[in-house]
Amino acid sequence: MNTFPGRAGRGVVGHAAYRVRVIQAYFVVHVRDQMAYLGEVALGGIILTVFLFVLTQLWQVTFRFQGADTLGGYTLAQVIWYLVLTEAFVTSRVAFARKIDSDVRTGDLAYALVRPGGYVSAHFGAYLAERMVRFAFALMVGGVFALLSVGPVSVGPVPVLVGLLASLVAILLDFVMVLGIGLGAFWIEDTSSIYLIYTRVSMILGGLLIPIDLFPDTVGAIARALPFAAMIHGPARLVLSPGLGEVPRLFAMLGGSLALAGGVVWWEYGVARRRVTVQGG
Amino acid sequence: MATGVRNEIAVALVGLTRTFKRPDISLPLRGLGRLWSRRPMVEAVALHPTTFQVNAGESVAFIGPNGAGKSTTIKILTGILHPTAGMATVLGHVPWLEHGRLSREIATVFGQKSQLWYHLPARDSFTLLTRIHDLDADLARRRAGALCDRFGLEGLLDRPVRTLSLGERMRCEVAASLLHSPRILFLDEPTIGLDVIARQELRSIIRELNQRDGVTVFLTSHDAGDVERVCDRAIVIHTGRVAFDGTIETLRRDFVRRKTISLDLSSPFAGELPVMPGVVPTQLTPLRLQFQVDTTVVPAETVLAGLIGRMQIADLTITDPPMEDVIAAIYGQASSASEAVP
Repeated sequence: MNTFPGRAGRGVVGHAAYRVRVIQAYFVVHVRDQMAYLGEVALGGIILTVFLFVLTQLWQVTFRFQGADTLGGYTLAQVIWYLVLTEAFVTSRVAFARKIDSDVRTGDLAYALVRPGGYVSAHFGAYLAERMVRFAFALMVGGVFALLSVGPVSVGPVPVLVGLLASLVAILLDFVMVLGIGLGAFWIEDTSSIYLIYTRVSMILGGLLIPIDLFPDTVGAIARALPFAAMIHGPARLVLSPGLGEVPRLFAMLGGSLALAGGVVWWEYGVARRRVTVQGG
Repeated sequence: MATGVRNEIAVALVGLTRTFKRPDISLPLRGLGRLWSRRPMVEAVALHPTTFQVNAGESVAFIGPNGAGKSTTIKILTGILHPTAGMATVLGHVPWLEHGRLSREIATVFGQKSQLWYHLPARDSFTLLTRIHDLDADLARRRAGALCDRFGLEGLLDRPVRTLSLGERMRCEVAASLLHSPRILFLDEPTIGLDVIARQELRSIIRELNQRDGVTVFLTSHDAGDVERVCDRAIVIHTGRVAFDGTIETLRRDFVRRKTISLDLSSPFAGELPVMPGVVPTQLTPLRLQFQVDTTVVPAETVLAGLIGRMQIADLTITDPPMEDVIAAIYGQASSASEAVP
């Protein structure tokens, strides 16, 4: 007789609350796990500082060469703070597609799927923990660098908060996309090349190094039509902008992309689950 | 809680079958055709229709050589794999359809797959598992405390898992798997890689769980000691079929039809031994004789009758072959069967 039953018989709301508790539990454990890798996180901070230093030099030369105080509406200080925000988003990325890819190929996925709590919840909790720790650390390191190199810029509290909220939605969208890439291992031998293309395209068309407002018109129009700009350029631009005029468009783009990517990955996950086979026997 | 085998079905399989498709590598692809051609798929059988039943409270060893179908069976019973045909229930649940509910009532320990977080203390993994199983926090804390006392985990739970020895880690693994008080414990090679002492400790823990708490144990292992010391019943599977199902004693007695007869003599024997088919002397000293008897050729009683009266016997023992030999024989049969298949 099971003397220790779980709280069975939950409804839809109860089930959703249970999933949130599971994600929270994975989140807490993985934040602690990250603390075991503080050295690695600190090393990432050093690399980020070097990147920012080089980019700052390049932008200083560009501004000097152009002889202008602003480029595309950005001052030099704003560009550097923009870079801090976009670099924080990109460098905090967690390459968990590799883990899913490995789970699929080694058959570990099958073991993970039957664990209570759910495979996606487990990955999401772990991803969120790792990403938040890295994101916060990158913002801190980048912020100190920007303060020391170009000084503060004037920003309003509301754009900052809304920008951070947009970043959170973008992080969720990134999770869904990377999950979709990792699950691709059911159909292709190795998904690392797809992940590489995804990250590189999103860096270029997302406005990692150059604000999209400075892109040539045609390229800028293409970039704006894709979700990458909403993930990387959008939140950074929002934090630095005086008003909230861009907010509806930005959230519509993020929400629409999330719904579309979520639908595709939901379908892909369903097909993948049915395809699960394990070697051995 | 005193327990024993109960008249309640814990695991039931009826004609459970698993096949899978794989490319036919016997057909070579040549030239440019290799770039786009696909080999035709052929069907391979991982598990032939298998039927058996395990009652609640039993401790069953599910043994067989590599490729026999035992991992496939365990994976189906824990909901990891879907069968191709047949039916199975575990505690009344169909595993591949109801693994969510089932996972609250069973536990799995895979010797080579850890459920603990490598860089964190095991206590953190216990906390996480408490949340995953949605257990009441106070009850779970008490349960963890009880498991900690029982498994001697005091002082281990707060050390990062990576710093534990394999034996200590496996004790933590088993304790973690028992947090939610499962009714069935599936163990797949739990003692693999452990030293002698750690093996003995883990076996006695599993035995005690079965004997004292009535947890049904379903164990696969290549280790004869695991089978002998943990289980009362053995199901032998090879080439995807159940080859034996009975008690461990019967397995040892009947699966390998060979007995060892040892005679200690009170005075030195200098006579001539009778020659009997199926009897091979393995030790011949003046005061001790030992024979291996193939009981399919000659009954042990006939051998004894031929020996008694020719010598003065001080002591006589007849022993079944050790479990290692039984398992080796099972595996040997499987390999000769597979060699026989063209």
